[in-house]
Amino acid sequence: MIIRSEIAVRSHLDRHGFWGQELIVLAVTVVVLAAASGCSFRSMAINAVMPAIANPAVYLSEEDPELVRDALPFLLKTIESVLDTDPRRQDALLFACTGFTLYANAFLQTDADLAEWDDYDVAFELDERARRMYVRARDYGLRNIEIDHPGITERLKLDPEAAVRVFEVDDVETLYYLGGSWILAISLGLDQPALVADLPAARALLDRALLLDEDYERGALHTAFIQLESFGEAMGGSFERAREHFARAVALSDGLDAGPYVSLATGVAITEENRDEFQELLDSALAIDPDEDTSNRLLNVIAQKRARNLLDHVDDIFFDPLIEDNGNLR
Amino acid sequence: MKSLRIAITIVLLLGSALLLAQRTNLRLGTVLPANSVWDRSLKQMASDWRAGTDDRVRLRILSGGSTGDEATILRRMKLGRPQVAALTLLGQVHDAFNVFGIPFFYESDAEALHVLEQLTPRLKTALANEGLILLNWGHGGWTHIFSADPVVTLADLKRTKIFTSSGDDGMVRWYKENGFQPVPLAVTDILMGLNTGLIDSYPSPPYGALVFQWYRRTPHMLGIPLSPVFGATVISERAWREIGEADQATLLESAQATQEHLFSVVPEQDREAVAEMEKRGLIVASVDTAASVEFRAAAEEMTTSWRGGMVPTEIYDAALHARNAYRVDTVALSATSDAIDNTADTVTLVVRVEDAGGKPLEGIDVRVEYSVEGRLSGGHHRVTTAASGEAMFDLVTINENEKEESRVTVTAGTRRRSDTITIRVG
Repeated sequence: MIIRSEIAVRSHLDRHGFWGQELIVLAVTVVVLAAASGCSFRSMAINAVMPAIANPAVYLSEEDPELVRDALPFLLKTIESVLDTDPRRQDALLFACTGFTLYANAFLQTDADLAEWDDYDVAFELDERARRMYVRARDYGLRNIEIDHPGITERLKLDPEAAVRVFEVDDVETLYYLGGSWILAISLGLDQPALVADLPAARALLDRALLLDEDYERGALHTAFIQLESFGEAMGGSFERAREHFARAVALSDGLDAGPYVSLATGVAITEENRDEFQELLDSALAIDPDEDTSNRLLNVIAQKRARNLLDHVDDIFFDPLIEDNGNLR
Repeated sequence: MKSLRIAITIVLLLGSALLLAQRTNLRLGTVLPANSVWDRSLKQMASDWRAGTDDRVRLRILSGGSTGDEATILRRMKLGRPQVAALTLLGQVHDAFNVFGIPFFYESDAEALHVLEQLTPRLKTALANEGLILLNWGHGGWTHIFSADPVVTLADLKRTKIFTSSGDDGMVRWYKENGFQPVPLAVTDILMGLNTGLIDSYPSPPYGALVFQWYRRTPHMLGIPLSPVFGATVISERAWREIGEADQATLLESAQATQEHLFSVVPEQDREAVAEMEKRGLIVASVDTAASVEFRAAAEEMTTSWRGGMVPTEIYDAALHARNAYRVDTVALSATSDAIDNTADTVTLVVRVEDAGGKPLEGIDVRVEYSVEGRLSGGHHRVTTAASGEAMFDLVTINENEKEESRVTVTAGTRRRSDTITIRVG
């Protein structure tokens, strides 16, 4: 039932190009200073630097995850400072949704997955932090769509399939991160009925995004759907459809994204008790050279870290197959 | 100095090696979902086991059915791994557990828990016959009837196409014999069944209806709970034997704490689930007390056939006895006379036992303590109530006093009452 954190966070890259680390630091400094200054200068300064600081590409192309782990919190708090000044600023709201989802997913939840093999208490604390951060990301996402569609949050809860029809192709990025952060929050909060109740809303957002832009970000939506379909038939999922999304995600990313491989391994191969496929998928994820697609380097490095960890514990995950009386395996 | 360092290093290494050799690594298989209240509770228990045994017992929780369905988990336990399981379908282990699935048999969580506690020795035996040791009971909430159209009577329910688990022929037969329209399906096909109109009602705990989103096709819930869902955490006898006695006690203690936690939070989770579903259109049919009593009475007539059928007779009777004992609400005392002519005459003390609705309760053990020695004739301190709800005790008055006041304490089922009886002589 866990969504194994493959909501890839990638955007803006082609539009904004690469921003040097120095420029980011400068931009952040200006924003922080501006926040302490007079109102008109503050707005002017934010308008000037916002496109520079709200650029996930510099993070997503990073080869050293620890650098991003240390740098991202400062940027996220800066963005929150911007939003404190201008609560309806949509590029900042989108970045807040994106950035908090990235941080929770790439660091907190991944660390929790690793810790779980040794210490449930540590894993729980990390998962709980991740869940709260996903909820924060979701709330920024909801604030963002409320600006163009007042009352949409309530409509999403009551009749999600009808509510999402207002979104168009330009909204796909917003839908992807909002739906993704919401689904991830739910997957870590199945003990909270108030969260679980919004599963149809989160699902409808991603359904709409897929309908509007099937090849968004070279298969990122299909990777998310591998996890959604892995929920199983009782919840309307289907392993067959999960495999179809996997094939499409691999095709769209030219096989350079480790995410779909890890997603199918954890979502389907474990439940189907298919150890051979599990091993093959994770080996394929590890065979990808992260430098071949620098736009997705950070997430590939993290996905490979998870893949290695899963392979280290393969004997704990899979038991020997049962042999029935008639000699057949099951 | 150097040799001392080497010696210390060797001792430390040996210590680690010995610890590893003594450590018991256990695996727990369950179909319960990861990050659910059950998964979290089991992981907390695993942490407590590790801390409480100084790391001698480690438990890894494999949730979400990654070790197969429950039938597969049970077969695997016989082969040695996993050694522990959190089971939700105990009827698969022994039909004694079907006693908790009797529709409308229990009125409250406290009552069902009382019966569970009373039956635990017998149920432990049933598990032991399968090579399983009980660690704790689990709580899955209470099933309610969810339906596309409102259901407030059994006649309404009989008009629906109700889901029942495929493979449970006894249940299908019982439904049909009592005029229902059961549709056997796999649990994984409920959503499909609701979407295609194959079924339009099903029993489920509220949390299940929410998490699987079934309630969106069935916006009506009957306010009367159908039956509790009790699960169990069990360990294979073989694995249990390999754990030292002191550690066994530690494991059982934290397993008991987990049980208490679940019996507290799961009903609360269901209440929250209902509240969330109501915000999104669920309508709960609240049934008044009179209608509820009528509903239960009609259901009870139908479910007596479970005795000796789907539930072993001895278990059914024990459950009925424990349940009725818990239901004792009123214990009325009266004497056939408050005055007698001779000291050797007999006065009959009548104890009448009723439930909260004023219904006489049959088969309740009644025990009487009389404050003056020798007053109860024939040593009949214990009598079982008849169909009238009455138990009778003969008092032989041998006292020479003209007036005798005596304290009488009566224990009936789970109730205890004291009163003063006054008898005049002559």
